[in-house]
Amino acid sequence: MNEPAIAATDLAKSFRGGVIAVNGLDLTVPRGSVYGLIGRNGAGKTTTLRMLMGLLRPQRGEARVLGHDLWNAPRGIRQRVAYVSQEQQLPPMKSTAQLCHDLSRLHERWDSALAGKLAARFGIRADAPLATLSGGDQRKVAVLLAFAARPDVLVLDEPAAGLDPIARRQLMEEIVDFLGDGGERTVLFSTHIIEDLERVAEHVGIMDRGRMVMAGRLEELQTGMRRVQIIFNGAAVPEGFRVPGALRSHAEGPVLTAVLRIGSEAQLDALRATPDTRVADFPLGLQDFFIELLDRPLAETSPSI
Amino acid sequence: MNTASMSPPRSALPASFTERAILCNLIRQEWYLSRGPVVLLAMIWLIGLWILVIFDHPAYLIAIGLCHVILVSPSQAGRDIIDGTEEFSFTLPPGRSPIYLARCAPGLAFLLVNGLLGSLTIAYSLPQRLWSLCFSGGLTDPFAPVSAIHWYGMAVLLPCAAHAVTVALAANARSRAVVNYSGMLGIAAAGSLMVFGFFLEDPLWQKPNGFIAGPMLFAMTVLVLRGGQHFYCGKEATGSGGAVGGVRRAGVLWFIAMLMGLLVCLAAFFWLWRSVAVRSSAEMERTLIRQENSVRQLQLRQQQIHSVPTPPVQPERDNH
Repeated sequence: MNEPAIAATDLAKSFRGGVIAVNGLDLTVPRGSVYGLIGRNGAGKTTTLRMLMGLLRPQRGEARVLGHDLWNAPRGIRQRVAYVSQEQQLPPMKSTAQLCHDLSRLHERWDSALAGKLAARFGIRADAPLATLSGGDQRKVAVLLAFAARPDVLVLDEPAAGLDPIARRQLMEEIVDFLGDGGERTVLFSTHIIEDLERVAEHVGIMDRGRMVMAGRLEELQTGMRRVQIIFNGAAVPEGFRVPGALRSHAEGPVLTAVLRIGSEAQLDALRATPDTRVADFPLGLQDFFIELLDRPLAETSPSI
Repeated sequence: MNTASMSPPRSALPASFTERAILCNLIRQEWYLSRGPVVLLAMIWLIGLWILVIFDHPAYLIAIGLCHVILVSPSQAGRDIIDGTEEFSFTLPPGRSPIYLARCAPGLAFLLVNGLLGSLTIAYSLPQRLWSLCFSGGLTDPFAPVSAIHWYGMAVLLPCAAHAVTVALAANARSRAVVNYSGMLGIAAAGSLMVFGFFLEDPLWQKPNGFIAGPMLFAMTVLVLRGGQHFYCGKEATGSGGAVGGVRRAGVLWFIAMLMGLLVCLAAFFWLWRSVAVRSSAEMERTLIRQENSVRQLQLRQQQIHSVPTPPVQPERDNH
């Protein structure tokens, strides 16, 4: 099927006090893929996910999941989508078992066996009221509930936050299992942990100040990003020298460092042909690229990116 | 770890997923969460009406209904705000509208049962009739049902209207402060409307009879519940961080509005009380004057009787 699992176009949302959380965001998540959303704190990831889930109403643009606006989608569509929010709060007086029982009466595809398996795997006390569980355990319960609903689209907002490394690894494995479960299952998750992203994501979107500044397949981002150093023979970088297609560049003495998204080696060859210079290029990992791209004062961020 | 408890107890039965079944499941879940105070109120209702038989006035039903509005209705309708679970609830398959209905239905059902069954119980002195099967005497007289017909109507309608306002406010609240005050605000609003209805009835029928207040409260219940549902369906989810308690600026405004509502309510009550009291004293005065007049007339008559010499009794004549 060609229709993407999740599609957002020109999405915008601001809050009281003039805080612009999301501004003209475009996002497309293909069916059957894992899409990782990264960005600095306050980049608008959570607001984007909440708009996609029909929890917030966009001020501009539209957000569609499985072809529907979840704000007023029919139950048949809503039950095909599961969400774990950043600060997931569950009914504190209920136990995991009670919650599973209640949800099994609301979700047609509820998988009790999977819920039991995950509870055992995560080491959750099923009969204890959720209020008595630790924050990490409550988060595990939230993840468990999302998986047990057997959704077609799983949206996770920083799912690993508050989890210990073992639980984090288990969660990532569950995501992989979930995808291999048959059907076109789609996962959209936001995270700050690049390692998790590299482990499971196929597509990556980088958000900054409410916009998608970079999106593409993970391999392309991993292999296509280069840090290029151009060392001039003189004492300083010549005035007005620009590296074509540079996402970021800064000069220090005779050395100009630029971050480039390389489409082909010809691009580098053209740089090497610059007279009176030596050119060195280094592959950039996703984490380095993320830092190179976004580690700057907000005022310096180019609006044209 | 006991993982067997993770599977639904009735997993052998095929679960039904019609809209009605989903709504029933939501209502059942709501009932489960708020059953404690509701059972307590039901016990108080039962003991006061049927066992001790000491409360034989519909005001008792109103009191129980308003206790429900204060204690249970806000926590039922505003549970998501109190617990910070609005995101969780809004992402459940049923969506906002059935959730709203499920939040309002158990309270409304309790108040209807409390008002209707309680009114029947009191109006027909059912507990006394029941206990008279075992004992020969009773401690209380039955309340006259006909002369206090508006009380019975108010026993049903006043708590329901207060519940409706409370549910609409608490469900659409964005802070815990509003949820906490919603019960009192609901009572103030419904009480004010009732008194206003009585105020209109007074010049028309010379006494409050509920002919205007009753329909007004009924209309308020329906309109407010429907309006609350409309706003709830358009409500953006409050994140768990956004629902942190404490009195904010909006909370302070609500508190001031509540105080003003209460003051208006109290003023209206006092006005009504005074007018009833004045009318009662005027009627009493008139009754006294009538009694005095009749006593005077009696005395006058007696004087007339004593002053007029009685004619001597004539011996009976035999006409034959």
